[in-house]
Amino acid sequence: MHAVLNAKSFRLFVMIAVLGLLASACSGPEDEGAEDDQPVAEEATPDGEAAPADGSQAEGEEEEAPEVDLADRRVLRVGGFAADIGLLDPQFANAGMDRQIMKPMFEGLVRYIPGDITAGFEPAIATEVPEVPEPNEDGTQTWEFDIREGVMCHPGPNNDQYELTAEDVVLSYEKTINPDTAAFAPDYEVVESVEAVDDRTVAFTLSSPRSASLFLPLVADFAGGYVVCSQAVNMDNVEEFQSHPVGTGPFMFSEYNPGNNIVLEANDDYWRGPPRLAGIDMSFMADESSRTLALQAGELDFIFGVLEDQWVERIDAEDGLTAIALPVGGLHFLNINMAREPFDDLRVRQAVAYAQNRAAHVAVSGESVKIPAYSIEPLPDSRGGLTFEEAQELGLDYSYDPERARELLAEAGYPDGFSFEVVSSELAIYSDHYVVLQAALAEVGIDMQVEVVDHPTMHSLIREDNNALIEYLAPRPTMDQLLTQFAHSDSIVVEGSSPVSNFSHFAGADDLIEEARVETDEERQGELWREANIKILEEAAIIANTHDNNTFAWQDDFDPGHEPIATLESSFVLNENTGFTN
Amino acid sequence: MLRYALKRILIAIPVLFVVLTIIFLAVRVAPGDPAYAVLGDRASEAALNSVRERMGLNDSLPVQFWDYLSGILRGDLGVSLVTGRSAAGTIMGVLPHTVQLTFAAITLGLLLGIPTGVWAAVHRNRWPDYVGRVVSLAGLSFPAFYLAILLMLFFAVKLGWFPTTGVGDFTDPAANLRHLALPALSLGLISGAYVTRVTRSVVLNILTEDFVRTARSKGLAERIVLYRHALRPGLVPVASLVGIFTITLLGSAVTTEIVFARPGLGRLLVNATMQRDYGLIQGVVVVFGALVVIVNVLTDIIYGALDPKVRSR
Repeated sequence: MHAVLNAKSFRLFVMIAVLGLLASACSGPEDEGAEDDQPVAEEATPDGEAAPADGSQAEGEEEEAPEVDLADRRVLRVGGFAADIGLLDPQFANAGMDRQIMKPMFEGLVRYIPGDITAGFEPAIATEVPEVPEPNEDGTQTWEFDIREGVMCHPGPNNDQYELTAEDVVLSYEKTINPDTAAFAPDYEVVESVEAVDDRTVAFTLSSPRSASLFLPLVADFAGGYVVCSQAVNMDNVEEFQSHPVGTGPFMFSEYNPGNNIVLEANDDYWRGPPRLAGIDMSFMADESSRTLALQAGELDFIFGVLEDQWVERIDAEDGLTAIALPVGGLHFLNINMAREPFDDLRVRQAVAYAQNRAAHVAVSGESVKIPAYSIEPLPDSRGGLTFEEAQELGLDYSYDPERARELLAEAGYPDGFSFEVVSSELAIYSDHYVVLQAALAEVGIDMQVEVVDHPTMHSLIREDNNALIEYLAPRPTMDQLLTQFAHSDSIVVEGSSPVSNFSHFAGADDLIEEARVETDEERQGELWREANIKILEEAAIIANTHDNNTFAWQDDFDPGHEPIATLESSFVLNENTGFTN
Repeated sequence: MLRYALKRILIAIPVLFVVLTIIFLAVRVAPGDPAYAVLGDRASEAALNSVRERMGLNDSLPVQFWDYLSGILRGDLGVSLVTGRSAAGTIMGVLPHTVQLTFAAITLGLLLGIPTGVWAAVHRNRWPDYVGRVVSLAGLSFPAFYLAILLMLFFAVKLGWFPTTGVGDFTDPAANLRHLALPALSLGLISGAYVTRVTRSVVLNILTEDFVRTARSKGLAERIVLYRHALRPGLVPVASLVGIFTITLLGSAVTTEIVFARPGLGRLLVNATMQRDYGLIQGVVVVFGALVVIVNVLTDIIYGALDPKVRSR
């Protein structure tokens, strides 16, 4: 599979290089002017590893876009995995499919390097990625962004095409920080104000400093970071915008047919150049067999796949098709309710941790889809996370050891085990984990009865503190979000001051999580997160289980326009460089 | 007949009111929260509560129920709580596809089932009868989604005759019919199996009736006995079955809709239920209730046309 991918990447590289040479040979004075506008990026990685600002990405930025034959473009036919989408509003797009369809229509001030969220950010609507500013005297922090010229808002039902200014950016983030007009407002509590310094400059004032790894995702092409066009948004009536979203991305909204499909068309006035695709037609196809058959029949160009090794191998082996498993930032972990007997006893929690069998979880889907995890972290090897070796050195790897689990249970006064009940979602991504855990616990004498309920019911019940053990799949872009939502005392379900999803009732690392949040030295920030992770493991409150990848497949003439390495929350980057090779 | 139809419609109104009340309460009693569908699993309780307030879910149940009922009386089906779009608009977007699929499946079912049933009955305990019984039993035993996938594999992937998924635009009848073919066939084969068994059984009974014997003793040709004397009364229970089957298909073609990625009323209702989208669920139930009334009235009219005794009651 990788060999196929690499060969394709090489062909793509050669093609881009040849087209680039041709384009530069044909370029006139206008192109020179455009080159002047190209940013020299200083990059920061999303989890804070300072990417070397050695200009490597800037070179990529300066590379001429391949010349696009507008008359010869095709529409990309995509088989999406959801039955439908929710609000057509990027700042309410919390489901995987919603995010996938918003990404080609909208941009942030900066954008994740396409296809690889671990590689940092590049400029987008902002002309450059700013350096981390020093804190102000009053303890606040101000981030300034210069807004690029020539970024055009799509025409909409209530607006003609127009050039985006600081006013649009300010309105966008005012919308994002308002809980009535965005789903992601809680992530933006640190933003005190967003102001237009002038037509081309926007300043964000934060109540306390943030590192690049925590602030830049807030203004990047994800979740609340998207910029909308102010002339299309009436803040007193956002519903109008939600029926026809207007952004600045390489594709613009064309039509939506409930329960059937959504169609985007190319924005030929896109500031990076016209897209290689004529448009994107995403059908809502909840059934994975149907998506697969439609791909095999040649009716679709790209589909979201089945979470199984065997599926990836089978599809990849077919002539004319390629399939991959791609890290998408989803962590599966076991939350043990420390407030519930008998799990309030550390020895019982440790027994559960030793009883669970990561290899069995991996075996359910295969090694390309599930990768063992040993601490809370957004992606494997994230800064602040623990590798197997690091966890083992600390004696906190909780590798499968049923004998040790039985000893701990006996010490805790449960030599014959005990019984309890939990609820699981009917979705396989949850129920599979519960089934594997159930078998592992049975081996050490613990009888876990699993009642399967529908997905919303499970979410509702676990937030009422129903379960003693909770298997959870959380795709989150930053370590801070994971730790804050699952391990900070404020987030404890029912009892916390701002209940979110701390199901374990762990409250032993608040100071570390808070200190890391305002730490702008990313190395130190990583150490603080690591310490928090160690405390969580010492208490056996949350046991990381697997990193879950996602799978995708496409026709061989599909060209992603980037090398897919790691993306965010189930999504796959479809942008102006995505196209076909013939 | 008109009076009879009006009476049926009037009886349906209290039935619809009871159904609406049950649905209104049932979706609210079930755990789950539409605010969660809007904000996602990272939302704080305060943010969820703010959305609930905006959706009117913090109002008392009687207030919510009155808002809902008064909306319906004004002809307003409300809005989807999750997507913010008008429930009527969303339903009208999928309804034509549901009606088309149901009509096509029933038509196919009748075209396949009635001749096969008659053929089997006439050749009772001979090979046509055995074939008809085995095939209809197989049709009854097949889950719709499995038959759908088999049809897709053979006719779409292997032969490439039909598209695997989606719906064709109504403005392009050829494409529309090509998209309709496999879903209609998968449901039509199953409904055809039901119709075959009922037709066979009814025709078998009728062929032993006195009036059939009289017709035969008058020297009428077997074909005339069968088609003019036996089949017409034989179709009365088939008409009932078709009515019931139509109602069932309108709501339960959901697996076929999912497998063929077709928009439809059943799929819309399941999806809305999964998201606890009270607004849309209630809207779909009203439309579904109206469809049930229409189908029942039509069935009664057909029933009356086939059996004059019904009209005289």
